[in-house]
Amino acid sequence: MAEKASPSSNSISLKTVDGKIFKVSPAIANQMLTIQPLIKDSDSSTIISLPDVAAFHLTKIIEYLEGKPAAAPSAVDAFEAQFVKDLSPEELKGLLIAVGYLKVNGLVDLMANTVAKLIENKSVEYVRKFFGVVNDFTPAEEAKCRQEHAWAFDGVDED
Amino acid sequence: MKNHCAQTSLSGVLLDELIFEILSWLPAILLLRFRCICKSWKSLISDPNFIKLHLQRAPKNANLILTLIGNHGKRSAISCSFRSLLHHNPSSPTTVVAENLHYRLKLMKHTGIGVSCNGLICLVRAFPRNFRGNEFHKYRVGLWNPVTKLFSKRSADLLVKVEGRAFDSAEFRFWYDKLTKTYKVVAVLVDSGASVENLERTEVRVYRFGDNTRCFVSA
Repeated sequence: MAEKASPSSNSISLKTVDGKIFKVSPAIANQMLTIQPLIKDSDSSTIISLPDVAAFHLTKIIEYLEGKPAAAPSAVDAFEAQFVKDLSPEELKGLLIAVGYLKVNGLVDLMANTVAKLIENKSVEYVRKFFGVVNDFTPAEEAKCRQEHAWAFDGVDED
Repeated sequence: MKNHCAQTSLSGVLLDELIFEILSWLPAILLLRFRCICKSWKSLISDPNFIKLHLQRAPKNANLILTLIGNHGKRSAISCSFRSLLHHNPSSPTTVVAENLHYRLKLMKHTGIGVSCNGLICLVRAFPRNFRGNEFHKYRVGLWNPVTKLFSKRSADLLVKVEGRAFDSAEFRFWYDKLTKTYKVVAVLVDSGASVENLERTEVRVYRFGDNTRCFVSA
């Protein structure tokens, strides 16, 4: 993690928002679709800045991109389960955003699926808070929307 | 290395894209709950592109919709997982997605329930030729999602017109054609031939949803 990329290496230097520099191989960097066009025009002294990615997230992303091909085909599921196992909800969310920003091959699906499982059994209020979504329904509109869930024809008299 | 995810000051556009991805992995029944989150989630869940992506991923949820007929012709639709059926696991939850289906159908003036596929149920309305109502010359087929309660638009309905003669029974099946990315309906029209020299006549037609094109006919 040198402060300055060494000109002799073939690797790509990525700088995170918290100022850390990571050197990765072109094969790894090319799987981050957002920076792909930048790689072509860069030489070994170029440092690509990632304004929306923290060092923690980039560490995880590189762990995934290096670890997945190394896993046997039958062990990929286990590798992915292990990869997300110890992450807190906030860390999952942060990593998903970083992955979405970099458009990392394969990892967007895994992260989105993991976050989906996380919110599966959560209330509307929890999900709003988690994503920082502002409820823009009026109380009447929200009540109507909630009511639509219950089967609309319960209690209707029959012929 | 904790507490570094404060920089989530991402543009709303990216977050929307990601929410699109997240929601596409959720079972349909949960999408109903999350329609109440805010207006943009509600419209996202009804967006045709979202529905298409959700359908592609839906088989991974491996849920099955069964329509049950109870006393007095009461019908309900329930959703349960293939796994629970295969392993005969009676304790695994099934979700009732629609009760009193017969009543709902009556309101929509639909006379029959076809099969289900990808969580959609095929509904058939038969138009009688005469007031006695025992011969039909026109069928309208629509697709209905019992969870979102969205019904395919009128333009996407399928009119199965029977020229000349009446058929006294019709069976409908439908499936999703991955190649053309359209739903296709096969109609088996049967004329028992009581009126015409005891000749039974069967006609099989394949239709494509969306453009009312009849692709294949076999008499």
